[in-house]
Amino acid sequence: MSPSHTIARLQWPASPRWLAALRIALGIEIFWALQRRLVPFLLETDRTLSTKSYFPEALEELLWSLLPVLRGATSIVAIFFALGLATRLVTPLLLGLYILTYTPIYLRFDAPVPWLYELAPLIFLYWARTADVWSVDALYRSRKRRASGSPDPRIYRWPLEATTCWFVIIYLWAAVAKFIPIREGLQWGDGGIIRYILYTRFLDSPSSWLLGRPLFNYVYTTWPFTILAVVALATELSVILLLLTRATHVVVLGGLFGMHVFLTFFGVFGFLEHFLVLAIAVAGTAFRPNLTTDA
Amino acid sequence: MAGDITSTGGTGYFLERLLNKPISVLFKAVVFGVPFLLQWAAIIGIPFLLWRWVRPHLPALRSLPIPKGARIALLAIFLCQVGALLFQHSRYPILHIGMFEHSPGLPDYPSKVTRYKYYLDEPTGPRVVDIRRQGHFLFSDLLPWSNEISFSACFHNRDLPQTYRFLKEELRSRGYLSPLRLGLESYDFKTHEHSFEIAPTRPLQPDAYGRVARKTIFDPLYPSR
Repeated sequence: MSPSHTIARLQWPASPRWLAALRIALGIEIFWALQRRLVPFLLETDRTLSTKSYFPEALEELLWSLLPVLRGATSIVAIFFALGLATRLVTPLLLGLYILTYTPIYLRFDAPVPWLYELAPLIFLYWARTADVWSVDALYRSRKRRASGSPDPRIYRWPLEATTCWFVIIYLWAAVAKFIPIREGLQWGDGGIIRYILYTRFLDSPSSWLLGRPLFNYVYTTWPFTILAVVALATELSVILLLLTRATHVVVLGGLFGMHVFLTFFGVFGFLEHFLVLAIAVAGTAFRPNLTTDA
Repeated sequence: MAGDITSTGGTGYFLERLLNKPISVLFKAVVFGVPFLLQWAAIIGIPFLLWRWVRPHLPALRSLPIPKGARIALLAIFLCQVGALLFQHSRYPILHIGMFEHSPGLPDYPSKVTRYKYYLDEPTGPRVVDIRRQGHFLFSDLLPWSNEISFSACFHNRDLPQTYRFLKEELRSRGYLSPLRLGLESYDFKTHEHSFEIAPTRPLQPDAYGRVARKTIFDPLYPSR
């Protein structure tokens, strides 16, 4: 069997459809997240936290005062991005607006789930040809493209692999962080943090709303938490397989999907939808299309 | 002479000191020393092994149609994340990915877990406003909120009158005009009793989250507290 690790896969061709799917999902997700009332709420409460940014304070203040405008502009540009309209211009514009919009938000809300997942892929996509298919740009360019010939199909591969590397960093780092310093990782295996989440968030979780009772007694039964901790660690560490072979993509993505469904069920929302967006790119790296029939 | 070595210094002196320690000290040295050495072996060894593995592929990698800017961006992002991880430091937009990385151990928890929640005092009875529930499109029953706003309103900003006012206005804009009051939901892990009090006793006691964050929810009945 020929090797299918990341470096080998980078030499393979890829279908532009995976990149287009990633662009569309990312654009819709960014637009959708900005419509769901966080900005009006933060404008009402205006309480800064201890979180910091690399931007100077004066700029942070300016961005805060411009937040409604930034939110509107980012939303519009995200729709353009999803449609693949003027993509060469819109992609860097979206990247810039996204960073600026979320700067004042991060200073007032310290659970950085959306931008943790989305920011790095947006940077990669600046150099990627995301709008060669399924885009308004492609409709206009199709005649010109036919005249100039098809591009090297490997150019659609590296952005998917780069996004996969970012995906691996997210989960691998989340696992490694538990082992710094390493004795804390050994203690993490007791499952205390999982018990803490399940206990303190029980009344704020679907497990309470849907079942009306916990899965088991979180106060008196502690051994399942150790098993859950080991399973969680193994699931997070398994992402490294995505770099080593394509044979395990289904298993790794399935495991992470299961972990996020579990977390959602116990009151830790927010990760699942972002996981699903990046999973498009990860799934794309498992395929080696026959370009004579599938380009 | 051997006696001199063991009693005055050098390796023999060190061994003698070590052997004279209680067994618990030796045990601790191994338990904490081995992971410490492994940690540094990993920090030094993994990049070395990775480099050995990647080096033969470098000519092929250089021939790939990846723009130079993208290569630099990839390397910069990777290095920034390594730094954020090693220093366990977040500063937007470089974020340390370490959610839930510290275990509080397995202390005793009270068998009754409690949460203060607002409710709509409707003619048919109290309707609990689960703020977290509004943050997920599959479960929301009153407001089309995101995870972020429901998290912020439910945890970080639960003590602010602005949060209560915002929630009230959002509910009104959706047609929920009943008075918004404060109640107390509780679940007893011992008896499995699940209840909601519409008139909790004052002053408010810290609930499951209040004990962690040392803040109670905003009480519309006593807005000045």
